[in-house]
Amino acid sequence: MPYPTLYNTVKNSRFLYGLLKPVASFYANIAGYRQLGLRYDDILDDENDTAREALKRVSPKEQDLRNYRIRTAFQLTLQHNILSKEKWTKPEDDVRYLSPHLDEVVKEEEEREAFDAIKVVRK
Amino acid sequence: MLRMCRLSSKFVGSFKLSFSRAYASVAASPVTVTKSKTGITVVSVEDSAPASSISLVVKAGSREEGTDNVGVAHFLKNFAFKNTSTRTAFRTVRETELLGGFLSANLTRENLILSAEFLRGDLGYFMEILSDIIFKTKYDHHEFPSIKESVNFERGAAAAIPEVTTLNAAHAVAFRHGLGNSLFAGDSTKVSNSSDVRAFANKVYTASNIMIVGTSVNHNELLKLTDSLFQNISHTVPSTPIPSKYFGGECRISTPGDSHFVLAFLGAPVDTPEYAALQVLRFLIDGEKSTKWGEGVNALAQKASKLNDTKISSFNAGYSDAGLFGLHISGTATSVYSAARVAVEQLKHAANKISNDEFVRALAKARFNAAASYETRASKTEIFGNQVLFSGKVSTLAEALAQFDRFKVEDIQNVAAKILKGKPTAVALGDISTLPFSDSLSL
Repeated sequence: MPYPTLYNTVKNSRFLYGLLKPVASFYANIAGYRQLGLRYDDILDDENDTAREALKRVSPKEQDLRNYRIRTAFQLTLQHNILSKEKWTKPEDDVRYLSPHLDEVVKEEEEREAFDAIKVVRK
Repeated sequence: MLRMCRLSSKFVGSFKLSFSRAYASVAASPVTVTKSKTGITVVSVEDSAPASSISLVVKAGSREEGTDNVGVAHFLKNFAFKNTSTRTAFRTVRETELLGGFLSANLTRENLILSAEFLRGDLGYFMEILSDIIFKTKYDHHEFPSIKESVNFERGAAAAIPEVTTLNAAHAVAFRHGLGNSLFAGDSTKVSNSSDVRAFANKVYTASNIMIVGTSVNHNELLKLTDSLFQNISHTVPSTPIPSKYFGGECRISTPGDSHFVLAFLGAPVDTPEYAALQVLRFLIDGEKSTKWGEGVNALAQKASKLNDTKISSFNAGYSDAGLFGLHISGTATSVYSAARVAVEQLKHAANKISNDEFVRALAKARFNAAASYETRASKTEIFGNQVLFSGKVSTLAEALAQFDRFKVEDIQNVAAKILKGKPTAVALGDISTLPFSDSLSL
């Protein structure tokens, strides 16, 4: 779902980016998902049509890796455990592999809605 | 013929006038051929019709496939009008609908034809759609499963039509590779993802492989749009295709239901005098009736109406460097057998002695057929596309008709004798225990 965001404002301003990036990295590190070996895109809400469609577009290999990570994380949470430190997801490995597809699907849905609601004006 | 007579007796004066006018406009409909700055040849035909069409004719038919990517041309055809970096497939379809246009992709053994039909004012939009197919199609891997589904559907639909199956099999037997490749991607295709299709697209979408045909469009406008929209076209010179070689042979497919039999011979390349002669021969032995209730005039048509459960039709498929000439007979197996015997008799008869009556009749039908093929937008596009891509020049209807005037009876006899000398191709489909073998037909 689209929501108001200051992401681009922050990203384009060197000052704001420099100020907030360390905070963001710190937050991501303490959020806990990296300690379970997950990536950020693994914990996005996937129980809706948009995410289901986006997941279909992820390459089969990426899908397998995602399933493996989720199973590992699930097992760890059952055991009330986290991975040993060297197995934590490294910040550079925390790739947004799903979000681009998600954005694409959202855009397509919006486009469809726009066309369905279109008012045709004759020339 | 019959209807014409009735009409002219009803509207004597006025009809004559309008008839002559219509004829004049056909003769005058000008064809303009220009090589654009991009290296793509642009052909336009001014019919002064309110609806226009443009087509990209690309030398990317099934014969361009290699053994490692058989079926890829069919996939490429179905990738037309899919997601591009400018528009999603959905947007293309909806916008076309809003403009009242019509998009289509057709595959022949030699060409891939991408067409748009629309109202006169919308040329710019549809040229962009067609150029986007070449430059901006994404070949998303997530689109591939749906493409594969449509490919399989089309293959299944074609397999349900015995005429298509037999003709496909006849080509496979006659030419093995190249022209023998099936138009439909089969189960054994090695195309497994969209990058295979992209690789093929990059190979075939080059300046010398593409031409643009417009009907009822402003030629200068079309040329200008080609220059601006196709300026990034690749100029790689494609490798020359392996020349077609005719083998011939036998193929028998057992199926329930009606029986079908195709008897074919090595024909001639399209746009050659020999091809035109074969066209006359085709109508000389054709078993189809041209009136609804008549019995037909020639021996095969009469045989067909006597057997009552048999259909006999002839074909003369011409390609750039070869052709396939033959007959297709369908019906119950025993009738097909006896019709095939008559067909062979007729072919031999044609090789020995053709009466003047038969000759004149066949010539008239061949002329009509040639004229009719210049009638519709789709067939005109295909004709001009083939001519420009393979011979580099366009021949008009007048020239096409003129070559028939030069024929004498002997020319047709010679051409019939020539094809009978070659090894036949026979395809039997249906009750193969009863259907004839080519060597049991005393050829």
